[in-house]
Amino acid sequence: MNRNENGAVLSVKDVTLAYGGRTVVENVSFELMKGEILCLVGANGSGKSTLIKGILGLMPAAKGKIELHCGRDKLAYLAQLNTTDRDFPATVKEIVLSGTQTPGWRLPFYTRENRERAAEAMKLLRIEEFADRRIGNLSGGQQQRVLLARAIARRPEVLVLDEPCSALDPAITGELYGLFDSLRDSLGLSILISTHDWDYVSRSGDRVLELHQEPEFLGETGEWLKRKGGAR
Amino acid sequence: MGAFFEALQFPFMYRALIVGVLVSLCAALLGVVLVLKHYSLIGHGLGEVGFASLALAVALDLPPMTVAIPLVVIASFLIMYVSQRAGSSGEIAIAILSTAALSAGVLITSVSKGFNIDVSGYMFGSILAMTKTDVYLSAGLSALVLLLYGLLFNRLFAITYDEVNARATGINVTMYQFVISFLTAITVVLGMRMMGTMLISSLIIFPAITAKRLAGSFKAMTITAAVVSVICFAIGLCISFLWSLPTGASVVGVNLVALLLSRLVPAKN
Repeated sequence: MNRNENGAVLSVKDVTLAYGGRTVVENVSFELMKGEILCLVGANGSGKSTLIKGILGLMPAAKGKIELHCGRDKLAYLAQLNTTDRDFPATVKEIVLSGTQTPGWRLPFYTRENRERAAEAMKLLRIEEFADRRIGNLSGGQQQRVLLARAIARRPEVLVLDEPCSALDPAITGELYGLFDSLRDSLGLSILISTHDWDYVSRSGDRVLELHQEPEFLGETGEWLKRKGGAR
Repeated sequence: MGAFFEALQFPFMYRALIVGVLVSLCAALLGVVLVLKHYSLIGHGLGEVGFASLALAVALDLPPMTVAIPLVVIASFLIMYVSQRAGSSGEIAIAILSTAALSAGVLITSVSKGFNIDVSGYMFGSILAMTKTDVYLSAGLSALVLLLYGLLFNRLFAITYDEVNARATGINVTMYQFVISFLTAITVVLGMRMMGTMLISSLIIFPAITAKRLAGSFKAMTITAAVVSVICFAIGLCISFLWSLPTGASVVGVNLVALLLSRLVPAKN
């Protein structure tokens, strides 16, 4: 059983997160349900990335509780594209395979299952032809597809996306959003996505959590759009 | 060249060759991770700490290794801890620690016996410094580094390529980083008496940078760094013996030539 009795794969209860002595996220509660796309929105500095760090276990919660009902090996993460290390000597295959690693002591080599998972993920993301190429020599969109394949190779149940399309052009952004939707539909993933893209939220989001509102808004996407008056 | 092979009959020469090859191999493997993680200054900082600890050992008339190993290992943990917490200012922490250690070494030396032959040898290395114990220690260290590197290879790749993602997926990144720190400290201690405390970091940095240019994958970079490092050491030792030059500086010179030659090769796609 990888969800609680309500069908949630992730529960965040009254969580407060502080950074450098300053409270950034205060008393936030929500549940991510099986197979839903929950959009995390809010202005820059509203605490979206901090909340994601808390969920990923990268920073401790000052208060409250974060529960991942499916186990950490079923969680995958995709951040915004970081192009600072373009000359890192890593092939696409090496990167996607690394996504199959799970916590704890494991065999020091990749098993046949690991290789099959990586091959499936590369096929799904249509990057097989780049398998032996160095990541730094791919375009930004291709690199982000590789990192998404690394996430998918884990066969996750929860996919956490932190502004995954920032710094990418509109065509590639549209393609990636389409991929997120199809992964949700085909694999039944639960997706928590931090984004500024209202088009994506209105088109694909099942629910919205808006931070730094008083109180924080959590509800259906249609209701959130109504509150915003359709304003951009 | 014949003279070099004849010289290998002498115990000090074959000891130097064995220790040098093994330490070069370990330093190159660790250097791949350190260079890619932008921790290459750690080797330099540990070399300076090694100098201070050797100066302390001479002043207190204690066996060098018994003082150097614990102090350099502690310093490596401290550097890694500060680098983790300080983020980008980790480089400043390393700079402070290394200059402080160098100053401490100079002060200890000047208030004790002055710059005698031992300290000078430690700073710039000596081919004569290797003992039977060093050979055994180097063999043990190499076995440990090769074993751990082989066992942790895929983990090290995941951590080196994307530390945040590794942490997010539940991998104990901090533990692996401290393992790398520990192995680096031991490698530096074993290599610094031959290469010199001032130059030991070159064994960590140069082969990795050369290999980074030549290799198209992490695995290829690791193998290339190991091969380049061992070949450069052997050539450097040969040059050092034939022309009576300091070993450390000769090995660094050969590594520098290899690095410059690698720049002539087009970058990998």
